Amino acid sequence: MNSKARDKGLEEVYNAVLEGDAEASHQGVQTALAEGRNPEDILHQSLIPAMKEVGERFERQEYYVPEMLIAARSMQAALNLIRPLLVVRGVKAVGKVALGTVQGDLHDIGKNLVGMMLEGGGFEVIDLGTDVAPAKFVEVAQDGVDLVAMSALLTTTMTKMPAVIKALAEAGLRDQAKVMIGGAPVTQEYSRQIGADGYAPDASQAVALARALLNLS
Amino acid sequence: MIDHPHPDFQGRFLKAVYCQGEPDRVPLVESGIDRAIKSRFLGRPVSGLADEVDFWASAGYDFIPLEAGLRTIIDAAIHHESSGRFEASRPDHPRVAAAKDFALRKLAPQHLTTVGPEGARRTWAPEGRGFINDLADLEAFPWPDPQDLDYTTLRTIGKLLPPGMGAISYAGAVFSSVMLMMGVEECLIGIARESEPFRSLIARVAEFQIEVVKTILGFGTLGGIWINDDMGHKSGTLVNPKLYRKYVFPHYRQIKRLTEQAGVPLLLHSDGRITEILPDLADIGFNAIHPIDPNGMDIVETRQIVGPGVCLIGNLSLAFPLGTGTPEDVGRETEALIRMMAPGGGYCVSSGNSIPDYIPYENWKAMRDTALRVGVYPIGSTKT
Repeated sequence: MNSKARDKGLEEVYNAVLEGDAEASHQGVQTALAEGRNPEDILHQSLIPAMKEVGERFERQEYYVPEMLIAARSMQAALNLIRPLLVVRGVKAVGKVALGTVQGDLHDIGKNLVGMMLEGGGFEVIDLGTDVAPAKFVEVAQDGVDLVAMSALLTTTMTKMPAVIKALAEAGLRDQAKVMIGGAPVTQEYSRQIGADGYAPDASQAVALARALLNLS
Repeated sequence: MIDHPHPDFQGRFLKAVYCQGEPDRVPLVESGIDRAIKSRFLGRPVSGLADEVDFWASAGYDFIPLEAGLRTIIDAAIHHESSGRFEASRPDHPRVAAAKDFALRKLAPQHLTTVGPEGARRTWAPEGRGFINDLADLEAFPWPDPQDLDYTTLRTIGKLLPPGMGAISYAGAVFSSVMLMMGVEECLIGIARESEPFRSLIARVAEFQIEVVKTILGFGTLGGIWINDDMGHKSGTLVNPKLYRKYVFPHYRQIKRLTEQAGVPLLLHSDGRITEILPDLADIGFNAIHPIDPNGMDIVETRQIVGPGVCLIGNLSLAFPLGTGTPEDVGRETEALIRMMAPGGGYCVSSGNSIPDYIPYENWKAMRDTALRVGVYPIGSTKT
């Protein structure tokens, strides 16, 4: 959606997220809701397009990690206001993701960025944190996730990823949940080797991958 | 293969680092190697500086990596363990002890440590908030004086080194010190917003670190300074390069002037894809860049950008082949790197980061053995 189609109030929320102004995004959403806008419109016309633009600016090297972090925090400030309203209205996320850093690994900044970008892309994210055992991924996946997203920083912890995939298969969840992986030592080739469904080199491309894996346009 | 390699810091390593043509063989370099690997190679536990020197010399390296500065305080507080580059020779000065205590009290070490199935402990850098979170913390932090640090090793190392062996110190880390003190996320946001806590902290850190560099160069025992500042991630620099130019590179230029006055080279270690700032680094005058992180860096592209006057060190991936490959894989990849990058000089063999505990001994040994076997000049670009 371009700015011409977005009215002034939603444009202000869009810009506040893009520029990483959490206070303005929070205020903008409060104003928009007070003026009677649907929370779905705020999500789909402001928040999601803003985060999409953030991702594209990151890929063009106009935005770097801090700009992405700041924008994501601004998006979360806005999302926190409308999330309960979306639930009440029965608005479903485009997909549900169980996200975590694998067992033995405490790296979380990359995982956090992916989580924020996925939320900004309209996904519901269950962030399991770091040092997540395979059984925990399975436990959460049994609640009906569409995607399991794993992160690892080290070569030694990356090798925990196959155990998660195996545990999902043994629990009969492999057809239900796609698996995507990322992290410093992780590669497309490694993803193929271990039977994951996809690999994303950064948070911005993780959203595109998630959408592709779920056949979303 | 060379069975009993002898170190040659002046004739071999410096020739490579200054890109002055081909020495006798391609130098071997590492910023750190896991203690168990070193002990196994030596056939006895590495338990002190004399053992460390023995290892580095007999394994084929031309210098022992050491460390000085704020990172010896920060890393000790966060990691509870030594990288092997720094060992205290005396109890901490009270101000150094107070600084470590401050950091520990502010962090949650129990959340920063994992224990593997075999009991191996790993500690982690704080990625959220660190121990300097605002101006109040900055003022409350009990800054030691640079002269409070233990320089015993750096001052006396010359007496321990065998003929031909050198010593290079990690020192001058400005950006990474701030990242660890503030936590990675808060530091990145702080530099992007040019916040007062960030600006104040980096100024204070730079002043401290440059004073350390002056001090250790004054001992006359070191053959180089190696700045350890991670500025990249997998697909690019962590922050907009204009911010590095404003807040970090001026300090590098000052350190470069100090090393030039001392007649020693300046090396940089940075993880990640730092391709965008390579022209800056060449302009600053770094003599060598390490480790040309395979997670993001193309070493051929790097050479094209920096030109023939900057030594490149590393690029052998920790994921594959070092971490997950066979010794044969390691040998093959090491040989390919040597044949591609070493002809003409200006290249040193190294891993794409360091050699941690999860690298099989046989794989480190395969890299080392291959370098000694294939890396003797003249080196053809293809196998004969």
